Amino acid sequence: MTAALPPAQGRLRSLAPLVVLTAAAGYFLLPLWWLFVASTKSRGDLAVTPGLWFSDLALFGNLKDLFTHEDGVYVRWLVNTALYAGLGAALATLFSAMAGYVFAKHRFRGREAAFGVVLAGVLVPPAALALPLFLLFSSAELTNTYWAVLVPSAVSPLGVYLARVQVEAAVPDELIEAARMDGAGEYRIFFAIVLRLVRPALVTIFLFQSVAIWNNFFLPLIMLTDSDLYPVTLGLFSWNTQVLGDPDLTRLVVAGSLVSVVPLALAFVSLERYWRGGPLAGGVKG
Amino acid sequence: MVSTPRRRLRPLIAMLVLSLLALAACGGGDDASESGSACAPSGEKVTIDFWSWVPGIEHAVELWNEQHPDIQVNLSKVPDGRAGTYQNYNNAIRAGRGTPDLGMIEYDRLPDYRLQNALENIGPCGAAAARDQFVDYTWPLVTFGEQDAVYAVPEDTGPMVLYYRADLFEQYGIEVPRTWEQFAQAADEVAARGNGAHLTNLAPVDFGGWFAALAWQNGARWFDWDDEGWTVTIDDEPTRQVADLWQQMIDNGDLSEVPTFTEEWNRALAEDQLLSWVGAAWGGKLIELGAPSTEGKWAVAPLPQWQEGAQASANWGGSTYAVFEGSDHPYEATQFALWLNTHPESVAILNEEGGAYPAAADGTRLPALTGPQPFFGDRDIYQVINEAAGNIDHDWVWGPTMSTTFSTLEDEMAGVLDGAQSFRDALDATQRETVEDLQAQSLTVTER
Repeated sequence: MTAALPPAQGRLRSLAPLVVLTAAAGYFLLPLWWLFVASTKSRGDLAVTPGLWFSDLALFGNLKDLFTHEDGVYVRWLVNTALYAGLGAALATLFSAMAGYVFAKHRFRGREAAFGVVLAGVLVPPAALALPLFLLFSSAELTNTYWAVLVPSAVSPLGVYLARVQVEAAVPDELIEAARMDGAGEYRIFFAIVLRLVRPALVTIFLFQSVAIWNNFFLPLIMLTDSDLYPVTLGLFSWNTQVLGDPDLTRLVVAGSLVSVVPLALAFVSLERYWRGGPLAGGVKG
Repeated sequence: MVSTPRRRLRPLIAMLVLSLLALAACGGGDDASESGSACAPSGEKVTIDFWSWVPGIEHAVELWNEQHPDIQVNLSKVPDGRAGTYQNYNNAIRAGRGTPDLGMIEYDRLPDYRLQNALENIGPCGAAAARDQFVDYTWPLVTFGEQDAVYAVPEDTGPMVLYYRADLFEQYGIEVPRTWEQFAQAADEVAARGNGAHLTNLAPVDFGGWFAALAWQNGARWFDWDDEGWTVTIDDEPTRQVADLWQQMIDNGDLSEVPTFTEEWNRALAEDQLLSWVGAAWGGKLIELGAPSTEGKWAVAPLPQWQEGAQASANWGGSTYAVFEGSDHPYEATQFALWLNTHPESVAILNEEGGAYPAAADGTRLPALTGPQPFFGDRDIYQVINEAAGNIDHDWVWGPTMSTTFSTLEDEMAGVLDGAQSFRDALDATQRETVEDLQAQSLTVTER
């Protein structure tokens, strides 16, 4: 009990975590700070002025160049990223919920075997699937299209697992039976009852999947060659590989990285409570 | 695992087989790839798929598209070859579809694609007749010495010179080195000041192509091939001589270990910590944009020589455009590639926006590449570079495994700079790995 301790020791106890957490926060925020400072600098200052403090303000010039370079392709990359990570995660969430519901509430032959296959899918790193996927999509003549990134992104084995656990925990069998008695069809039951009851888990699945899509750099790298289809990560990477031809691109890569962090940071902050619930979503009945 | 009764799996297997069949059906389309013996214009409006990673190239493409309504070029700005695009070419070649009509490939990677039979012979498409429009030494690199064959159109080159700080050389009392011996001596003198400045830097990053060029300058020949197979001599005598010189400078602690082309390098340049750079023609712009505060202080001299009074240079970097096997429009793709790399307006765009030092013989007459250069204290540096371009050995041959060769060499160099092994050990290892890689690709390697 803290109350029983001498005051000095109690203060020390509460101080230690604070120090550790502050240090950790500094460690994680420092690169972001560098990014912010660097994006305010001109090309010349970027190399020669100290990285963690400002020099002459060139942020607005950098941003203007960023949004106008190559006819404003950067804006397109942002929109593409929103499409891949947003629509892809939305589809993955819907499919996960459907599959999770079926695994949880329907009995059919090979259910556990099929579920085992899905679980095995969690263990396969996305990068390992990129080349086989490329060859498949190539024979379907779908490489270098939006579908090449969207279709693989709409699949989330982890989401199926989470959805199943959540449906089992949050949707009573009696409720479904009652709905059937009242004449509700499977689709009605799923959309009107199941989806509503597992909504918190769906948000979690959506967030996990959108981050997974955002981070899956390798898939668009090998699927896409038309830069109009790039997500922002691949676009910036592409610019960064061209700096030997045009060193001025460094400035745009830095500014572009900063801008690309903003939507993700906003999403994290505004949806923070779902994140906190995330890993435990299936563990405790809400 | 619990064993599943077989009959339960049957529907699943049937589903898998069906979906595979469906995919196979989708894939079985056009395998009627016509062999390009005669390369004729198609006589209709065509669109050419084109991949490149040169900054600003979209402006040259726009210009072409305006002037040639019947041959429209569809540009994909892709990442640098080594950063993913070479892998994407390989994937597409493996998939049997998806390569562009025309794609950017560096000189050192061309043999790799030639050996995969991935390149169209564009000699009959007008490329053979364009030979005189390109700098001499580029031609063997795109023809591989084959009769009447051309496999790529050169875009840019990198004749090597010595960039140096005229002001600091004077301040340190150093003569511009004419030989490599003098260069090593100067490196020692600068380091002896103990003020943190170095004559130049050496790091394992972006090292392979640079070192190959220095070996090239000394008359080395890493690869050769004939009917019998490939010969690999990465550890030949001239290469060892180059290695030994740099080993000596490493042992004496004369070199900075800042990696070239990084922000660290830019800073070292701007803070007078590096007095020179053994670099290529395309590098002047990198210094200019990386360390703008050093304006007016740089000069350019020919590479130091192995024999006093000699004039040998070498080439570092540069790219070409190749028509991929299976292209429906090799003629039009070739016409565009020739225009792109020889037309004055296009060459000017690639130089100005993409930093390309043109491979076109006339490219050296670009206004940007003649006369005094303000950043270089109004010195006419391109005159020196042009002369270097005329002094490059034509016999250099790239091997089909440069990816392995360079990455091995760069890995091994880390150990050399740490003092864990000698430069010669690194050459031996690179030689060994390269031979193994060739053999792994079922290529015959003949004994020397």
